[in-house]
Amino acid sequence: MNSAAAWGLASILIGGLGTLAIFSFLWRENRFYRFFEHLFIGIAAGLGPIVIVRDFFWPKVIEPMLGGNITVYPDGTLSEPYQPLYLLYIVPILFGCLYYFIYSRRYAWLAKVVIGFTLGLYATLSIRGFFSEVVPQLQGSFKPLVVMTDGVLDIYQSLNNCAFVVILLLVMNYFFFTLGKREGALQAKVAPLGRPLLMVCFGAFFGSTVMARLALLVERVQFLLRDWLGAVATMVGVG
Amino acid sequence: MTQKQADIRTRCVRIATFLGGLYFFLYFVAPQSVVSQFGIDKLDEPISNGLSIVGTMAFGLGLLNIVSAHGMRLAFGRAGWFYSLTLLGGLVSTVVITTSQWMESVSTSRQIRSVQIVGEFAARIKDDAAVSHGGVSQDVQNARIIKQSGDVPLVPTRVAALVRYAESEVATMRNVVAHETHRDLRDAGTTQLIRELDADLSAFTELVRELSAESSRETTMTPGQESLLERVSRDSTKIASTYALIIRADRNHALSQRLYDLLYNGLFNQLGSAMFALLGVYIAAAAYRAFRIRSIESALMMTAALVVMMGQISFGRMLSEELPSMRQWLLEVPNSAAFRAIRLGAGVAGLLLAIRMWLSIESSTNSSEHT
Repeated sequence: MNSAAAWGLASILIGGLGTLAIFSFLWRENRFYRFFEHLFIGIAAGLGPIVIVRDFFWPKVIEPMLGGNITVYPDGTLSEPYQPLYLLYIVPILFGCLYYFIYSRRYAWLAKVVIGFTLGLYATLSIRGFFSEVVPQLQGSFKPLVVMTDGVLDIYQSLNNCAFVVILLLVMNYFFFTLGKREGALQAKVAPLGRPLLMVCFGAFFGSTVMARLALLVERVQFLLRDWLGAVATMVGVG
Repeated sequence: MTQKQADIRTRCVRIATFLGGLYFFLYFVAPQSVVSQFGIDKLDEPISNGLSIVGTMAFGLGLLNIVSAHGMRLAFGRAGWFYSLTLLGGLVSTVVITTSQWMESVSTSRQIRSVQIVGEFAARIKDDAAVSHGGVSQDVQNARIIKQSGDVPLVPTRVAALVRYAESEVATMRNVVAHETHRDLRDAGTTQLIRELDADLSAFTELVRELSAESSRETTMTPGQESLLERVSRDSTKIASTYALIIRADRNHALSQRLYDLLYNGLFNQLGSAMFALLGVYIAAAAYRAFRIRSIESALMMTAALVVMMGQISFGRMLSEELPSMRQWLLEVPNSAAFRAIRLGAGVAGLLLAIRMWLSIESSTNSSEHT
């Protein structure tokens, strides 16, 4: 067996052990499960910061600051001039360091300044997100109630569109509390209809989620039965 | 702390919150013509990166917290210290392995880049000569002049530098080919690539010699030199891509890459999938309790879930041929409409919350008592 195959085998064996450990939780919480659970958390916690430094901090911040993105040709000329403006990145880096004052009882309020700044930043990003994502959906929701295909009324599509708009309005009405629902008004009369429609929606969601998780479960079981047992057989010399 | 100090601090936090969101808000509401007029569209990426840096700096906090919490448990031998050791061991080994894999990858990219420079430099010499002869438009000339820094040497000096550099790169690549030929790890595809590269390098060496001879005869750029530079640029680009494939294949055998694959594919991905798959079992168990039909609404929910689940599997098709189309209709019409209504409602609520947060009028988070 060459080294590539040996590494592949080791990867499958460890992955299978880990999968069995996680599934052992179905029996009850045990040491085998807790070991791999903590290992998983450790790996995830270690990967996050490194990925941020590798994919964002180094190529987008440090390299431009140090001029690492500029090519020096063999005759000494540069692919582009150095931009000293990139050195201004030091300002947000120092400002971001204020987060760490959270450990100081006296200066903890400085951390609040930077937390406030970040909150403001993401608040306006979500305002932007609303107009670029939700507004087009709102426009797209009001579909034509009468659909003509080649000059002929498409009854099926028209009924579907009518159902879509009616369900949308009924569910929105169910959640409309701003002005209160006057007793006897149409708005109050149709409000209870939103609830069963929401239940249909939640049921469909539930079904989709279960199927997605079951697909993963089937994949895991296949991995254990096919790849992992195969690797175990190879290791003990049966396969 | 006096009330006045507390008020000043609160004001500082509120101003910072407002300033934090100001750029993205103005960029969004300002007309495109104004954005272009002030050149902000060109600066958008560096400014966005600069603002993102502030949020990125918080990642160390999470790391510090996890290390201090588990480090303390380990140091004082409290209950569960062994699991803390496992977690910290996983964390440290991930940091070490991922960093070394990244360093290895940076070194490989540099190796590839040094070969790509041959082609880029040849094209640049040719283009710069065209600029000095006025063979290109004024816009291109301006762009080139802006891009160049310092004095640009004369053409023969540049060609001589190119020839020296190309020869040294060819020697490096030949070393890699010789090294690769003696490896037992390469697959059939890599062997073929090595053969191709070897043949290309021989032809390329001839081409560089021809260019060297041509440039030593003439002090200015001749059509013959231009054509040779163009060929050098084209051929070296091809060589660089073959070389990149070979050394990337070689890098896959490096220890850091092997350990990274073991950690990422062997552990992280497998454990993540297992955790999600485990939730499937618990969701099914929860469904058993939740779906006992006690009202019309729970019956509706159960029916919708059953149609969606059965419509997706072949067993459902065995029960009724109509189930897949019923499932499709259920997802596209009632589910989609109700979900969109929820989303629109949540979107409006989110918008208002974002505005209140940005203007610091949301609850008393930024009030003087908390600051």
